[in-house]
Order: sequence, then structure tokens, then C-alpha cells
Amino acid sequence: MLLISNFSKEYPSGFEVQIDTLKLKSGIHFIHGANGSGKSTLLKALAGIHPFQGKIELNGTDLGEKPLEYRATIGYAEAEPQFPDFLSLDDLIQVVAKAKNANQEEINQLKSAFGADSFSGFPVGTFSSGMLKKSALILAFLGKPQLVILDEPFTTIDTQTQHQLTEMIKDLAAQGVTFLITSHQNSPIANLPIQGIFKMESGRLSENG
Amino acid sequence: MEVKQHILLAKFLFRNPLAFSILPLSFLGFSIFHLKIIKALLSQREYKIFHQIGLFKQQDKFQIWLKIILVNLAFSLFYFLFVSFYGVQENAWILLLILWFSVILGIGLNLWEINRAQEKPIPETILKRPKVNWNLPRFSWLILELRQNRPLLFLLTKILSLALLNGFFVSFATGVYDIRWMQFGVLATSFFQIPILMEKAEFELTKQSWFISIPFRSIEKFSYHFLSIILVSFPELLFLIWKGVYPFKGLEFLSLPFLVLGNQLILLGIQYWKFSSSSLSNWFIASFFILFLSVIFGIPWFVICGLSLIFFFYQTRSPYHL
Repeated sequence: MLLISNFSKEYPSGFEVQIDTLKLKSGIHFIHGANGSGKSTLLKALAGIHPFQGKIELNGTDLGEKPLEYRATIGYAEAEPQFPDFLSLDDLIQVVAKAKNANQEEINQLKSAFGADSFSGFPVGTFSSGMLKKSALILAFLGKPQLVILDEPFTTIDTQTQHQLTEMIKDLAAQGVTFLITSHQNSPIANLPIQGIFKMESGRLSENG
Repeated sequence: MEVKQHILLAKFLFRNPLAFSILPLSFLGFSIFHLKIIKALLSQREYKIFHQIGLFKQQDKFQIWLKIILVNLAFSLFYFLFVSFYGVQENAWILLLILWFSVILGIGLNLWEINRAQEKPIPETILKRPKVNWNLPRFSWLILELRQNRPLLFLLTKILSLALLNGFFVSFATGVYDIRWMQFGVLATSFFQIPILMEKAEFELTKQSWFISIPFRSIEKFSYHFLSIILVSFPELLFLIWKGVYPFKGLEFLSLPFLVLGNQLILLGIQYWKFSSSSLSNWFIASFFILFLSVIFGIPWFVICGLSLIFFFYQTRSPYHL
């Protein structure tokens, strides 16, 4: 279970994301909202990238008290991934796999599932936006995370990969993994068994039916 | 220099044509350097939008770029105006003609080349990944980033710091100074690395920000930073080993390479502490004087290095730091 309490993240501009309490059981949860509403801010805080006020706990592991243990159990894919241009996907996988104790079998499975075998040895700077998104998704799923945070996962990837991603999410959710997904694309989301739908508006999260 | 000295210099230059030639030649050299910077900037992702100025009318393009070039070269132009006043007094009309002809040539060259570059498509970036069969370890990323995107900065920094170190070794060889002179030289050299350390921080903030979500242990984080600095400081370390072993006795020599690394850890720690603050440069200056006094008063090098390690660990202890 993911537990968020008394969460706030304020920017120098004055924009603030605030959540009093949120409990998410395992399964697939969807956040939607207008551009600039604070979705990515929340996701980055959950991924341990942005500091924040409050408490975030995943299956009893508090992000503030046990930052390494928490980060070892989550996976995160950004909406617009950015990596050093000269590195290959294999370089990136090697670093993340070592930190998250992912084995070669898992790496090979993920690369095959996302069709990355043909380009994993080339510099990331030569990738198309779709290849970059696939790379970010592979890195997010490494290490068998308990919480997978996906910010706009379906944009820029081809329909075949969208279908594969949908199936992967369904399988892992059935095994007890929690997913938190944002998307502006309705079609792939409609194929997922969504547990909870939330709306982010001006930094405030509310639960939609 | 005071104004009076500038006036004397200006008069001297107009009386000595050979010395005067420095002015037009250095301006032309600088304008070519300026042109290279502009062309490199226009190829960068953040500035590619300005390539569309190539679609404007010729008159508008000319006005836009002329303003930019004049502002960038303003300091030189004001100085030339200043010296020209004394050139008129000295009746050095031919030298003045040469000077201002070089200014027109430099500005014209910039305008012409930029216009030519904007008529063509943006050149494709060639990514240089080392042709090795193994995965690139994380501590090598900084030096590769510098090679890819900041080769001139890296080269100039290394040339200047090696020249400075060499100067200190030459003066040390006279036998007038003790080991503290070389420790001061190493301190000065370390501060020359500030632009590289700032590039490191920028690189981590932008292209490596996602990695903050990865559970790196403290020892892994420290290894990454320390080995990155060793790689980047390799020319200086090699130079110290090559030049430094014989003039010194025993452990005395060890102080120099360790201080190169220790000083940079302090600078890196200050950077992470005050990165987005306007007082960053003040803290760099303050640290220079503190380290300078430490050298003068003979504080053992291992104490300085030990304190730098502690300071650096403290500044990067946060899980929100790489």
C-alpha cells in the first residue's frame, strides 16, 4: 500500500501541490489533469527526485526515514526522459541493474519485451523519442519494483509497444504491484483495469469515480 | 591599471608600430573566437530556434546580428575609441586606419559567416562514444560529457592549470621557497578547475536528475564523485608525479596530489551547498583565503584533506544529491 499524508511541495513561484491523505492499495491508479496542474510534481516526489514536506510510505517503508530502501522498491519513467547523449541504453541498464540487483535474465526479458535489442548498443542521443521512451520504461521496470510510476507512458511509442506495455502492467498488477499512471491518451488507459481515478487540479488531488 | 597608465600605454602603442600591431591582431583573433562561439551556440538544442533568423529579410537579419555582435565586442570597441583619441593626438592616422579597418573586418567577417551558416541546415551533432566493448562506468561520464559538449573549456582549463603549475615548479627550483610555495601553487591550480566543477553540477542537475530516484549508497556516491575528479584532474596529477618526485623528500611529495583532490572536494562541496545562491562566488573566494592561510600557517596537508572529505560527505549526505 502507498500512503501519502500531509504532503506539500511548494515552488518559488508560489505554486503548491498539497495532499492531506491518500491511500492506494496495489493495482492500477490513474491520475489525470490539465497541463501544469501538478501531476509530474507529485510523481517526482513519489520517485524520490524532489524533496517535499510530509510523509510518503510504501508497504511500511518511509521515504524520509529509509530513502535507499524506498528507492530500491520503486521504478519511475519520466514523461520526457533525458539522459547523457553519448551513453548507450546498455550503459544505463548496467548502472541501474547494479543498484537494484536486477539479473541478466530480467534485463534480457525487458529489452525483448520493448524491442530494444536492436538499438541498446547505440548512443541515446541518436534515439527517436519513441526509443527514448522505451528506454525509460525498461529502466523503470528493472529490479522488480513494488511501485511503478509512469508519467505519460503511452506517448511517442508505437501501438504494438503500447499493447505490450498494457499487458505487462496488467500482469504485474495482478501480482500485487502498484501502478500510478498519468496520461492524456484515453485509448490505452481504457484497456487497463483501473482501481482508482484521481484528478489533479491546481495542485489539489481529488478522487473521481 | 589606473587611467593615467592606460593613457601612457595608448601613447606608447602609437609611437611603436610593432607593439601597436597587437591591437588589430588580437581583435581579429577575438572576433574569430567570438564567431566560433556563436556558431557553436546556434547548434545547441536551446538556441536552435534562432536558426530561423535565417528566414528573415536581409535587412532585419543584419540589424539583429549587428546589435548582438556590437554588444559582445563592446568592451574592445570602447577601448579602441579611448586609444584612438590619443592616436589622433599623436597624428598616427595610418595606424588608426589599420585599427578601425581591422574592427570593420572582424565585424564584417562575423556578419558574413553567421549569415552563411544560417542559410544552410544546422549541422548534425556527431556523438562520440568511445568504441569499447564494455559498458561505460558512471565515473567516466563527466569526462565524456566534457569531451562531447565542452572540449574547448576542458582544454583551456588544463592548459592554463598546467602552465601555472609549471611556473610554480620553475620558481620552486630556485631553492628560495619551501614546500608551502608548491602547496599554494596546487591551491591556485585547484581553483582553475571551478568551471569544470560547475559543468559537473550542471550535468548532474540536467542530464542525470532521473538518477536521484536510484538507490545509490553513500560509498557508491562518493566513489562516483571522487573517481570523476581523479579522471578530470589526471593531467595535473600526472604532471605532479613527473615533475615532483625528485625535488621533494619522502612523504612531502604526497601532499601535492592529495591537495589537488582535497581542494576540489571542498570546491565541489561548496558548489552543492550554494549552487543556486548568488553568494556562491563569495564562498569560493572565502574558501580560497581560508585554504591560503592554512598553507601559510603550515597546517598539515592530511588535516586539510581530512576536513575536505568530511565537508564533502556532509554536503552530499542528502538522498536528493547524486
